[in-house]
Amino acid sequence: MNEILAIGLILFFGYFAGRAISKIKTPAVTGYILLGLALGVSFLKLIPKSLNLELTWLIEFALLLVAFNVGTELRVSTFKQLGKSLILIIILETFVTFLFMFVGMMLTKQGLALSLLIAALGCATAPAVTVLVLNQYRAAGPLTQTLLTCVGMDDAFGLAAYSICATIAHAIFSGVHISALILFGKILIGVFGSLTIGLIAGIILDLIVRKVRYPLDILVITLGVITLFGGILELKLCDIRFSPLLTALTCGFYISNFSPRTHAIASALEKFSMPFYVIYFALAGARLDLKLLISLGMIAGIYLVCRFTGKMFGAWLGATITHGPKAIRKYTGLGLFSQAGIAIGLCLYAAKEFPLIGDIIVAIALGTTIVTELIGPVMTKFAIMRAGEAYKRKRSEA
Amino acid sequence: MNELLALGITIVIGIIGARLIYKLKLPSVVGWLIVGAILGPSVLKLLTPELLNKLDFISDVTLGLIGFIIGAEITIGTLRGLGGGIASIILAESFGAFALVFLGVWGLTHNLPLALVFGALAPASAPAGTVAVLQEYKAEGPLTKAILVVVGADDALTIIIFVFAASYAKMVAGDVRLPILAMMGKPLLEIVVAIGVGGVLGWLLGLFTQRIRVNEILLPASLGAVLTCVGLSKVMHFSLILATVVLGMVMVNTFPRACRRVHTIIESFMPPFYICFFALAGAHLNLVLLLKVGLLGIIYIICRTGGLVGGAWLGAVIGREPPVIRKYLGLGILSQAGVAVGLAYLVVREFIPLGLAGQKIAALTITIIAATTIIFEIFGPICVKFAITKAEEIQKRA
Repeated sequence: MNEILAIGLILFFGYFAGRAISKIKTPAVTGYILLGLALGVSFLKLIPKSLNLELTWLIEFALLLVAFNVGTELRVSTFKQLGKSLILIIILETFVTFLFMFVGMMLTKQGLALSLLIAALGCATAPAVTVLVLNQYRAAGPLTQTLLTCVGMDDAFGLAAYSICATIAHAIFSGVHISALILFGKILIGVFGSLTIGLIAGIILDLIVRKVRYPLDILVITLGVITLFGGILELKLCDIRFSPLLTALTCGFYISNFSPRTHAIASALEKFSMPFYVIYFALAGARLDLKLLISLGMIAGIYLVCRFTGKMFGAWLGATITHGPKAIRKYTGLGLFSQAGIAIGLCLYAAKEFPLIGDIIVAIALGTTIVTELIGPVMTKFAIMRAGEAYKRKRSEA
Repeated sequence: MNELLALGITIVIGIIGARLIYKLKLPSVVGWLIVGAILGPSVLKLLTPELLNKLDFISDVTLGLIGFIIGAEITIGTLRGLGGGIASIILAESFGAFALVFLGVWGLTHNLPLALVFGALAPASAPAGTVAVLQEYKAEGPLTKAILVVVGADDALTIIIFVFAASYAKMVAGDVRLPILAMMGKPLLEIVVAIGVGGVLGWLLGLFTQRIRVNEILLPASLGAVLTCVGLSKVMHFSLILATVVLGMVMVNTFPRACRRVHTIIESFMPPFYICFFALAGAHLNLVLLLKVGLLGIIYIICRTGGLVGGAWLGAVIGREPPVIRKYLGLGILSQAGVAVGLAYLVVREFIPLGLAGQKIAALTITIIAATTIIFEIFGPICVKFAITKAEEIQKRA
């Protein structure tokens, strides 16, 4: 089995997996993961771990595309409309989830590094799935607005949290004792450096794309800039970990808010990216060791409980402090249960960075993703139904 | 240097290279090749052999997609329009190149096995450069169609000529008796398998995609079929190009509407792959070899060009094709690339055990073929542009 054949089979059968899974009203993502699971180490063993490692760069590339895409979803105009209450809800919803999961993992004695990484993975919500459900039921209203903003923002927070936690985890694993202050400084430089370089990348991309007419040229230039900067930040300079993903995200953010060619760039990338998404979900599935997951059942359970209560409590707390409406207080957390995309990407990323605990991270992140993908959409639907926001949109908007 | 950075640099500098070469009114392919050669081990050493090895994946994927694109142009209608003349062109250009190179090398060196080996390698054409140029200038017309059919179909004949002539050369050089007719069984079987696999996958892809409405899933599914074909060609050792050409051909003739959609979507997916493909091909070129072309190399270049152009002319005259095809088709098929070098390596492996005479032939073959490939790879696309310009089949940026 070579890489090309593996990817060919994934893409070809991915189509069927996506169709089959949609019959039971579950997002196609789950189908891709299950397909990977079937071909991977747990069952058919057609895609061994070594093959998966060979293709790490492909996954990194796909993840850059995802991060860029998440960035384009963030709009300055939305922030302005939001006001303090929403910002607080998002911050608390993410932070409390992180805290709960971190504590939960520490209580099950997972060790500091693993707990941090897993907690960071849990912050993000799947935008695609949530948006899909909201569109399907033509939801409109304050809760819907809140949910839409949350899913975009907490991905950004999740990425930031991951890059911070990864730096700490590196410090722990390297065994070299460094003072908290230096570590803190490194994290700050890493995060802000990544953000700044992302802005620069965005400005450069914008300047070039303004002069280009053909959509295909736009695609090539965008990909070139994203991979170039992603690749540069992948290098470890002066022992500081930069985050290529944060850079891609900031770049996307700049383009979507300040470039006149946003639409051209986004649509060029959208068409191009789809196969890479399928590949990375399936490759993640292929790495999932089912036996390991079963042995980790307890931890996965705690993960789910902590993530759920964290989202519920955080959102409730934020809304209560700012005197938000009842629907937002009660149901925001419920609507944010789906986890995919970023979490899966990050777990593969972490598996590469920390080979020692890679398998555990993949098993937990994927095992819980499959559960949340099955239950999440149902919960989101429940939330908007109870809040009375379903079928409030006019047909033309749907 | 990581893979992402390598790709990023390649794409960005590739874009710049294409811009510069555009000013000289040359096809972008040439710019990408030169950029690759400069970044590669010959000059800057930014793309190390190790990285190239990992990224070769991209080359195979691109070659497969190019095969598909060629195949998708060959409808029964096209073939009927071109008539039996196309078969006589393919026979005449392949045997023309073989015969002329054989005679030229034999006249120069009086070394029978050497002449046979060079003759055997001469017909090997490279479709990638040709197709990329045709697409860049949006070429359309009888010559374009004929060129596509010829580069798509002459692979099968090339294999047969190569195996036959190379085996005979081995017999002469090694002074051994080989059952040549029996040895033809294996390549013939490979051709049959390639056609079978490509055909089945093409039909399946058509069957499934005709029902896909959303373009989003269309791309992954079609890529999946093509990559499965490419992957199988690696595992089962059959011609990648032949199989994917057949894939496209079967699909366009059984499900024309689905094929048109797939064709459009794959073409819009290709541009970044083109850049990487040609830049990687350029990086594989060992520029120092240019100094070693020597008299033998010059004879090879002249005879191969003469054989292909003259053969195509002769075939077209016999087949009563229109004057544009008679005059210019040969110029459209001059590219020589990876396939020829691959076959040359095969010669090296087979001839080295044959003692001193064999080793001399092996060394000469690999040097001269690699050196002349630099020339043909760069001038092939330029000649294609010249041919379609003269034939007035350019639709864009004339």
